Amino acid sequence: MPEKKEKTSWGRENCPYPAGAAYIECDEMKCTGCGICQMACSMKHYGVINKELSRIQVRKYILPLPKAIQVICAQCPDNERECEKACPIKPPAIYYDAKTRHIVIDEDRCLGQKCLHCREACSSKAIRIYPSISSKPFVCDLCDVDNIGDTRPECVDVCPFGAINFLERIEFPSIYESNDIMRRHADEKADLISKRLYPLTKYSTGYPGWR
Amino acid sequence: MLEVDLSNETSRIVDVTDDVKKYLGGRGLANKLLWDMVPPGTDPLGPENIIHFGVGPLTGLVGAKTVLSFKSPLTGWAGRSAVSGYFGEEVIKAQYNAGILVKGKSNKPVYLYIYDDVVEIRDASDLWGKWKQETEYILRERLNRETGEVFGVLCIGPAGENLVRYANVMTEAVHSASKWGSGAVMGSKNLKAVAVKGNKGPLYADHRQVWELYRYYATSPYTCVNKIEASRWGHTRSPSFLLRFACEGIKNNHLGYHEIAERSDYLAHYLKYFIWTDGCPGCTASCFVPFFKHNEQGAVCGDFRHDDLGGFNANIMVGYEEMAGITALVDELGMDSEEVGGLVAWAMDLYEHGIITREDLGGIDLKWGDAQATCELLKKIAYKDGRAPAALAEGFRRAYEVFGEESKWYAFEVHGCASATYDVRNKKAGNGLIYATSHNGARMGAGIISGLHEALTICIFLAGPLIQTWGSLEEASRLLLNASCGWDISTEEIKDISIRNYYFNRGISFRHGYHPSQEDFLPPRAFGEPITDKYGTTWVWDHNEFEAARKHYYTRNLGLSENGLLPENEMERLGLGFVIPELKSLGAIA
Repeated sequence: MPEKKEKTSWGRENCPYPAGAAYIECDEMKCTGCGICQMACSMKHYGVINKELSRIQVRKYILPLPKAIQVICAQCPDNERECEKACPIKPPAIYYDAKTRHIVIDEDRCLGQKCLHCREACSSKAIRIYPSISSKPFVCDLCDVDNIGDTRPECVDVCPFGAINFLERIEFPSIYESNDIMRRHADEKADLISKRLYPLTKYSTGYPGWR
Repeated sequence: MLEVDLSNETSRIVDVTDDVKKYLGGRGLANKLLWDMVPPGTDPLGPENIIHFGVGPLTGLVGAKTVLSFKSPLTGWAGRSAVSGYFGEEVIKAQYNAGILVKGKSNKPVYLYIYDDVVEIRDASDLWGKWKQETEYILRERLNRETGEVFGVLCIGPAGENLVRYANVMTEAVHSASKWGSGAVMGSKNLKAVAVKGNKGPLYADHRQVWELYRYYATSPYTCVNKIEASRWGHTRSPSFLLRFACEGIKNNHLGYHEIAERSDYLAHYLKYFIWTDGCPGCTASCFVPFFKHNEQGAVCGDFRHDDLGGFNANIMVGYEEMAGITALVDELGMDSEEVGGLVAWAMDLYEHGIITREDLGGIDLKWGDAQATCELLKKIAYKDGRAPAALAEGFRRAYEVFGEESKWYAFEVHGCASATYDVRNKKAGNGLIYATSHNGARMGAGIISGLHEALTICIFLAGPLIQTWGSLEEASRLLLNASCGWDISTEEIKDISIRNYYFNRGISFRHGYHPSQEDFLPPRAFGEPITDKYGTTWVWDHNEFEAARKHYYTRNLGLSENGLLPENEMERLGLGFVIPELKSLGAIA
């Protein structure tokens, strides 16, 4: 019988937590759609299991084969932070907290459901809203619920296929990192993945078909 | 429970709490519904039949199985199909904890639209006639454009529309609710699809406790080990081994071994065609490994499950290469590959022996190993096009009337259902006794343990790690049920539920014409045609040996009388006294 391991993360490389600014990156090809990340997120932030209340989302497509694709806030760098730019409040109610190093939504100043310009601006729709719990949107805060800089993302710890990674943002001035390429809607990612199944279309599992 | 009446185009919520406490959900609850709502003599393809899309308190925690229950058009007895994928989880998230019951019949093609509390019976005339993939994709796209959400969609293909008696219901391209004709029941109600989206989230009593338990077993070493095999091979491996040990169908179950078995090469299949691993909500051991095959002729994709590979595949003298295209077509047409595989193998045998002709088959030269001819036949069966295909679409028993007495010896069926997989003659690893004593028809999924699996709804492929983590299925169920439902149930009570559901389901079959003395046999060839495996072991049954083994199985494994009848005292004790009078008159009670 295999020995029980001490660490809580499993099935993946034993990566050290990033020291500086970091972000969550999802490997779409490894995701199988189990949704344990969603359960962990909603449990951490709201104390319930509700995949709709999760800041990481797993959407399922048929390309025509079934494929699960994750959606998560890319913690975009300065010049690419569309949500911040779109916020009508000045200074923005959704902003990147330089001290704690992740996106924060200031619920006191945020206009909530009436506005949602940030959500519209974000091409991956990573900003979520669940009106029956709160009129204010929510977004991945790297599990730093009290905004004190304690970032230990739960989803990264539980993913059985190592499809979610917590990586350091390189901040050296000579190396530019651009997350907006990652920041795509899952629908678009699905379309790209479906190219692997060329010449099949989503309408049939056979080509040219059997008719 | 959401109850939808297609005849009157109404729906309502029904409180079934007391029944759920007694039977749990899924198939357990459905037994009560079938007993109350479907009297003996009901036409399974008529409006009085019901179909219950069952979920249970644990759906979404141990995989996400939806168990469909209905009166089977194939056997006429208690029928059930189970399907995975995320449909079941959406039903739980919409908080229909006791599932969705559909009764009546619509007078035009419709689909059921369920988005939390919004329930609509919508027109599906533009979807009617479409094959499975097209139906599901179009419907999902449409609903996504309308709501921005990803709906769980169960749909039927042309086979269901045309009332092929073993038509299936499919979701997410590769997940199917296959057995015993659930697709035909939906087709008979003009119900093309069911689309569900739940935004409310599951209604657990103690979320934190559920999460602790879930996280514990989902990330345990046992699940991890399960995941390693499952996520790579899915279910493609076992048939390759079983074929060498005379434990699957080869050439209409005539042979124990043939070199065609070597062409069930799961490694070649994986290395050439594996594309990615996919799984279900609530399962961290994902076991769907779809293939994508692309060559000069075109492309095809799908997923191999044991049902495509055990009773089809070598049974019609092909290997995994040819099976890829056949599997994808069976899924597109919406038929149970296990049933149709046995029937096609039978048809090939009958054709070889001149019992059916090329003309009967509509011009198809149905030779062994001919994948092209098989595909043509499958299309004809789905559309009941031609004398032989239309007969095959009705299943073995009704086909005998068309093909004649001499076709019977070639038929490898138990209870009128194909018994090609896990060859019944193999006493070590075959399913002879399981099939012969099943009151649903030749299939696993009828034994006592299914009384629990399919009422909690948990996926059997995760039962292993669950048991390894907590010692027994009852203990695992107890912990998870108490946390999710807020009950204080004991393992004894859970064992009782399992047995209760099994007896009740068997009782329903009795009520609809099943009786072990008439039905519980193996095909003649199980006694008259020995098979020898690759390594020299020969298997065949002797009649006396079978009688004795069956008696033993009834009493030791199934808790029945020596003749497969239901024990009266136990039924009383388990609160099934109300079914005894009627069942006694049918000779079902010991």
